[in-house]
Amino acid sequence: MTASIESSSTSPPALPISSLRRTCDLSSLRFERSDQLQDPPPHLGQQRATDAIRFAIQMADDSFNAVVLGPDGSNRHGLAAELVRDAASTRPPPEDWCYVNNLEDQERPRALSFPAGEGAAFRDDLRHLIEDLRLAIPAAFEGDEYRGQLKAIDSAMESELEERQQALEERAARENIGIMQTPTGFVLAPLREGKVIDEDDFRKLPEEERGKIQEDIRHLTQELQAQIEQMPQLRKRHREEIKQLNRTVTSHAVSVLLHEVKDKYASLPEVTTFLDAIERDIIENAEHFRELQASPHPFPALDASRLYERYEVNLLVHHEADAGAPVVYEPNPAYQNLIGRIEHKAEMGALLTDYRLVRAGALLRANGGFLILDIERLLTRPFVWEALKQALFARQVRIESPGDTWGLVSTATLRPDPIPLRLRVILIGERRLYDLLCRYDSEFGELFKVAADLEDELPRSEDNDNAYARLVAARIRQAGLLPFDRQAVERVVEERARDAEDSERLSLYMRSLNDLLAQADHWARHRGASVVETRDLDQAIEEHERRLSRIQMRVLDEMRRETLLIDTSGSRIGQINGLSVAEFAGYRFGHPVRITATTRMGTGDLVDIEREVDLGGAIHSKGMLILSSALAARYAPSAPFSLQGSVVFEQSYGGVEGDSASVAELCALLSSLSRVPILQNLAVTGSVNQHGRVQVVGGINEKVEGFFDLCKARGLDGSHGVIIPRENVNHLMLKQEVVKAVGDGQFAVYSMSTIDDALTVLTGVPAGERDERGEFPPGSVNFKVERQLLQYAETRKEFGEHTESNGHG
Amino acid sequence: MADAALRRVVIAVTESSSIVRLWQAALACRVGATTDLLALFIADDRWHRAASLSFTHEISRIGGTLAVFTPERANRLHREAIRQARRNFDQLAAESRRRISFEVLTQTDTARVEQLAAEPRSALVGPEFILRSPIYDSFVQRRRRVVLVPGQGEQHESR
Repeated sequence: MTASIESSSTSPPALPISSLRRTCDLSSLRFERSDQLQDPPPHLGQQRATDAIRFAIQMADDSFNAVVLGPDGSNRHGLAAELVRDAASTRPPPEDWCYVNNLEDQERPRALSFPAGEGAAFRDDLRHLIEDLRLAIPAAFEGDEYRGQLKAIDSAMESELEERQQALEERAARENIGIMQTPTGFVLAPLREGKVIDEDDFRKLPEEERGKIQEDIRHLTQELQAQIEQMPQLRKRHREEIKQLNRTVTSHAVSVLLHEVKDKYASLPEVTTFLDAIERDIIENAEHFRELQASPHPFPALDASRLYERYEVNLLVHHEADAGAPVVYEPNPAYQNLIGRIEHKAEMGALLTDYRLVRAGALLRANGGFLILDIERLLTRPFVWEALKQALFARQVRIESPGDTWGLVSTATLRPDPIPLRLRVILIGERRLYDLLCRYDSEFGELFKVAADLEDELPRSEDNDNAYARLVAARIRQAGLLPFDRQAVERVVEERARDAEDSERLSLYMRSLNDLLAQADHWARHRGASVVETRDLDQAIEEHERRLSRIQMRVLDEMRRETLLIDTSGSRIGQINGLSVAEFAGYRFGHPVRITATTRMGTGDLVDIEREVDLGGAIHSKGMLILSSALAARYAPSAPFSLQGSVVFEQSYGGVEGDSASVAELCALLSSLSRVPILQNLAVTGSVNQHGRVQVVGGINEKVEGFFDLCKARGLDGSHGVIIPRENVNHLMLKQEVVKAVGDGQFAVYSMSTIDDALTVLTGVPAGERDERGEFPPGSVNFKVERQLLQYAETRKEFGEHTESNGHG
Repeated sequence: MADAALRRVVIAVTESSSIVRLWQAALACRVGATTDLLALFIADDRWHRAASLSFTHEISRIGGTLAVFTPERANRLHREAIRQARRNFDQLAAESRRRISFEVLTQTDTARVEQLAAEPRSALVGPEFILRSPIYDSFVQRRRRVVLVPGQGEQHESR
């Protein structure tokens, strides 16, 4: 019984040149130059992504933030920004936000909100108020009325002191006691005839008198002490009276000026409260505001001339009253750029800050609107991702340094009021990052519920080719390039299909399109043309490739010099030309690789030498195992699989990945088994499944062109060609040079569906199909393979019996 | 015709004088470029007499605390008063770009005061109470100009 096998025995014909490159015909657009083309439909090919972004914009729920997914250069920023700006322009501007001094706790600045446009007006009003206060308060203290009242208070104090002093002195004089002043106090001593008496004179006095003198001095001392003890109270009362006078004078000056501002902002209770606090503060500190021009103090914090600065307004974010909602793109979302920062000023060697140095970040600038951020940049800036999530969850922005947020430092600093946050965040990034966040950040899905996945390609049709041509024309106009003629536009569209590696699709990767257009424009200008033609595009492509093709040329040169052994003529048993793709800095090129196989009797082991030495990747190893399984299932299914085979990529030292060589590897093994040589003027690429069916591979254009380049270098003779999977034919967008060679009969591209198709072309011998008896036709490759495997099985059986009898004997 | 400038101005100083006011009063006299300015510090022994009494105390202006007023304390106060007066006069003279000499006498050094008063174009500037101090009598007797500065920490001893 045989396994289900897909096979054929007829050699597939070479592909017609129409299959090698799908051309673009824009004749239906009726234009000669790109500047005659209209703009394309908006967001060509991105309907799903634009619908998603619009949905996120319109959703009322704040957690429906969006992530725009697409590779760098896919115009993801332009698309998101355009849609968001359209929406923002129809929405009202959000509130203005200011920070003002919290006069009761200066470490906690107060946040005040205003209708759009009024924040700036309030700042200016306060500025004018301060200017007025600077003049009005000192002027009030300069007035005769104030001076008169102050003099009265001072006089009352002096009079009281003098009266007390005089009363004491009179009392002492009556008792014949003198009160002498020393630099630090008073000394009481007895007098006789106006002079202080000394100890000798004192002793001469009667004892009774001496006792009385001492008693009088003791009493007077006590009274003097009592007077001295009352002095602080007297002075305090004096200061209070002056302070109260200052308050009264200041209050009158301030209330008159504040009245107008208070009236203007009467509808904003928090603002009114702040203005009340200013009034109280000025009155409380009236004496500091007396000087019209206070002399600068070396310590700025103590500089009276800067006292008024504490009432200034820090306008954090403001909007024009007639503007729409804000749209902010923050290209550098470092923590402080996103959340905000508290700046410091160096003064006398110390770093100082206050509420006026609090700065808004992108979150606050976008508050009430839209914020666009790059995921990768967010994730690579320290602390930013967590801070963003925290702000979105809490729906407020708390401006503090990262060190404070994470408890790394404990220096006293500002704790500004948090500001309510309501905005829509649009993240932009690659799919892998989105996938990683979905997998590993459980909070991500709660905040970013809309994915806008940009299409990479646009299916080709006449309509879409035409629309794409208009897109090309629009890009040319936007970039200010020379107009392209119709053939050049057609050529651009074809190149976009080549960029997509699919003749039926057009790449929507806009950066490479822009680069191609700009380079073609350059070469057209270089030759003094006013219109870009296909030759300019050719030159642009050639020059671009030439700049990056050093390695490719080196490989080709080594093959020509036969340092790298690749045969392009004759035939060999167990040796085949596979095709590989290498990539350097985004530039891909194909080149042939020699694959060889050896076989002998064994126990069913196929050795992948690449895998044995750890140069084979996982996918390559998988391909080898499938290949082994296909081989065992296909031939001599009733006999033990008695093959020992090995396969290797010759002169390959850098590792092999992918399964696109599995057809070549299987053909090399079958050639070795059947002893049917393989034509070396051909190369093959394709993967194979367990049933011998050939499957698609990547990089098909580069692979075909890689073998073509080598054959061309050695001289095309019409025998050269490449065999590719049939399903890859739709991906062919070969260079025109290759297409021309095929058209001239110098080169050929074959397609295959099964391993038998490949064997037939590669050996020039029919692969052979099983007949009704389940047997391959004699002389066919498959017949020879099966015969060899059966022979191995028989030999192995005999070998086993012989070994067994020897063992028992 | 304007009066000629004085030849000498004597400024009478005591321990409790306000140097600034005495200085201003002295400059207000007919002081010319050649006028000699002399500060005469007449040491008063009242502090020493008071300190000789065993029961006298100094009452501090700050808080009214008491400390025994000893002769050592009186001496120290006396020396400090002289040093302070001299320093203040030197500073004021420097600010006015003038020179002043400074002498310390006792209550009994009347001969020196008489010598000073002998100069016809001399004047005496001092607190009001010096009129009651006999050492300056020669200025009054010779009818020299005497300028009294009121409110000069008058010595309570005289009461």
